[in-house]
Amino acid sequence: MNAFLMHRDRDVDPEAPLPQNAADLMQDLELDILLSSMAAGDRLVYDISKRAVLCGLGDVASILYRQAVLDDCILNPHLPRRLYDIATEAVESKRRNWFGIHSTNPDSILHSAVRMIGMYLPLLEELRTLAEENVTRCTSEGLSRLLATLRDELSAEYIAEIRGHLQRLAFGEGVLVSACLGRGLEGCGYALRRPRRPMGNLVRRVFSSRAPVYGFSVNPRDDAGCQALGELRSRGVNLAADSLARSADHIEGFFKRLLFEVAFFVGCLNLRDALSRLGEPVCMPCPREPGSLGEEYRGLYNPCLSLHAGRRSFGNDVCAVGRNPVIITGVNEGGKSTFLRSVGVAALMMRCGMFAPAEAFSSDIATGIFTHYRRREDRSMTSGKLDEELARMDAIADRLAPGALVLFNESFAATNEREGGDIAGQITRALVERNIRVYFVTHLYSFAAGFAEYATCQPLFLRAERRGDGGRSYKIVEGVPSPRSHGEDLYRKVFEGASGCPASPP
Amino acid sequence: MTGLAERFRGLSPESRALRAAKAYVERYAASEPFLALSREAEELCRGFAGLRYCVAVKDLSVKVRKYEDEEDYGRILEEAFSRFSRSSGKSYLADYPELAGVDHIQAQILKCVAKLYPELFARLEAFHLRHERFMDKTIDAVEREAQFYLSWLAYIEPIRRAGLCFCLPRVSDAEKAISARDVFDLALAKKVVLASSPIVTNDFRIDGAERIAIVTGPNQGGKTTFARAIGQLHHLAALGLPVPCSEARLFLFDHMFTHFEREESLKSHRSKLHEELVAIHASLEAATERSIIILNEVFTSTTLADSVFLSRKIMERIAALDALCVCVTFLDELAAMGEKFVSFVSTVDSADHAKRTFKIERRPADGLAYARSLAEKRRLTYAQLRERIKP
Repeated sequence: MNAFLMHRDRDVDPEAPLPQNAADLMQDLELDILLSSMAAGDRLVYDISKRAVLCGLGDVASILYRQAVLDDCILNPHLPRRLYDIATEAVESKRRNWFGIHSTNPDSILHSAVRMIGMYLPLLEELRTLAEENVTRCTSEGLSRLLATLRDELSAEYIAEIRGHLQRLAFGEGVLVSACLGRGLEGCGYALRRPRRPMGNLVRRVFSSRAPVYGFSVNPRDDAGCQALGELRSRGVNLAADSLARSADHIEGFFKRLLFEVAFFVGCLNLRDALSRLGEPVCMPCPREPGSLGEEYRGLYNPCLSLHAGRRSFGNDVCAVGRNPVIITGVNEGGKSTFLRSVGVAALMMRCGMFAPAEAFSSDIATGIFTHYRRREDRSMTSGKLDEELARMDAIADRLAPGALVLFNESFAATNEREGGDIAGQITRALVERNIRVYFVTHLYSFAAGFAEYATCQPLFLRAERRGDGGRSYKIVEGVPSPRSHGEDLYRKVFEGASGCPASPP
Repeated sequence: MTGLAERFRGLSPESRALRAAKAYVERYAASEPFLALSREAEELCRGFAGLRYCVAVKDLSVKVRKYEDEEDYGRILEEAFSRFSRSSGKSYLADYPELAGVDHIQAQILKCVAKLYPELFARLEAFHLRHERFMDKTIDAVEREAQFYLSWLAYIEPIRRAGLCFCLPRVSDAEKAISARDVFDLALAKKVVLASSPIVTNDFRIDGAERIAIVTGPNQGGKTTFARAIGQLHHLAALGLPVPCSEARLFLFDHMFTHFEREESLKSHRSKLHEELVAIHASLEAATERSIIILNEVFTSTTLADSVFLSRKIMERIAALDALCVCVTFLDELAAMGEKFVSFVSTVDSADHAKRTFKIERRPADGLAYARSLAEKRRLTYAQLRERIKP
């Protein structure tokens, strides 16, 4: 029984390795704010959403599959939430009641497994009822298939059959065990058998055929004998106990998988609620197969900033289709970093099948999303700053393939402008020529200007400028880099206390 | 036993040990007692393999009879829950060891089984009386010791087939001038042979007063592979095995110490640099003038100045010790530290600087500007990146 809401043909892997640059993405794009809003306090939703957002999908069909399930969830929000609650109840009540199989003795393993499965049965029935009520409301392949499976596989007859087995496995009537002889003529290959005749007095009934039967009784005062007999019996039920205990685990596993499958969509609903409370728009983005054509945004904003500030951010309209690299220059604290983050966050959100933080958004699916941000402090304190940046770039380069998206923020500025510009230029040129999308926020003027004459690509130059509507917001407009020092504004603000200056965005 | 004797029959080994083993095995396998034993044992095994019985236990009463095709309840349960099942998962099988002996309950059951199959048990008893002791100690030892040679030969066979040479080296425990021709790294050869691409071999020579080989040059030029290969040559030579090269004169060392750059261990609270220093210190304390020390890219996690300082200190100590050493580094100034030092350089194609040849040559090191070499070391120049990222 598969839940398969996240992928058409496989389970969510809650332990899937995160991309190697996960920590960088989390830090550079401030994803914790986004994920916390999705989680709304639920650790599992956080973890599953984190994996979904960071790992992403690789093709249009997979994204559309998830988008369709998400659309169903948005129309019937009670459904994913109820599925999540039932599965949580199953997993939690095992823990709460100290159920579980801890013994190594097959007799008690069998007993524990019977108890556990008995506890799961009413919850399985509840799932069936929920499925029956909602199956016709869903149109997505993922959800309608799941609900149909629950309705059919957990039928009333099936549940009754399982109840029957649980009752019989009490073994009030004795056990029948088959065996072979091993190399030392010891009994081996024990297996529990279902008697041919109905259970009654097993020992008498089973052997009423004409085949020869030999037997003996153990003296109740023979402790060693009773123990040996108990062990024989345990060896006999070993395989069956294993089978039932594994089944109990599998049922628990099914509830857990259901949790894993639904958690992401619960997270999406939470995030959507939070953004719409702020009045932020979201849209289902249009993904294109991996390539390097570029992105087109209308009203793109950084949801992490909106959530953090508790108010709407201003959106940017940018068309970068057919343009690479995208080089962003302009005044300090002019929203360049915010814009760069919004590009990264939107790409991640689209790639995991979520809605996008924009009014409209279309883009190729990035084969990998990487951030290379200048770190204010060298955390390790062991390597030179430039070498530390190069080491991070080296790690990124190991995993780059055409169609990837790399966001640079003030990279390679740790050395002098000539050297830094040279390194940045060499790297950017190589990446662009290998069809990797590059967004580069920089004030290395010689590097930025160098691309204006670079014939083999069509760079897009953006500049951050204050909006006309007052100090607190910025817009990104097309504009070539200027050699003027960007620090001048800031210097005046700090040293001369010029009024009406913007507070720094987080 | 029979198979082993047959294999020996077609062979005429030269070594003393194998000639003796062959004679012994052939004599043993042809002996009449051995032949009779194996015939009888086979028949009995066939008889017991087919035997199966049923035990019914209720409270303290036990009944035994032949098995009559009753259904396996474990399988019935498996079936009933199959819709939930997954291939993987924890097993709850209690691990019952095979019984070494038979307890008195088992013995009573076995008596019942013997009554069910009286003829078979009678034959078994007769067999036991005739052959209480049978295992031959010499044969046992031959089998165990042959494993060493066999596994080595099996390992190098595909590499040999691909045209690479192995040879028995000349070893000396006095002469520190060492040399080898057409050396290759076994680990790399194993991989490359599987992919059936060609492998580059290198020559290596340390003469006269020279003790320390400093290997520099562009990254990914085969430096680490080279250092590893030199270490392998000596280690394998000391085991008495054929080594991966066409001709070799090697030093019989007392200990070999290797330091290869590795990931920072999370278990340790110390920095990588600190870890490295502690490990190298321990090695140098234990090393003698008859040791071999192999250092690969140590001290890379610190600043250039630190790295130069530390590397020089370590090199001075190794030189004073008069031990043999191979040191892979990007600090080419180390090669100019005196007569004990000799420089090897990994090379690039002289026409196309991004193309690597994997040839290591014995010649002076050539310097590169630091910032540039940093980028190059990380393989981040325009040409290197274009090479790394496949279109």
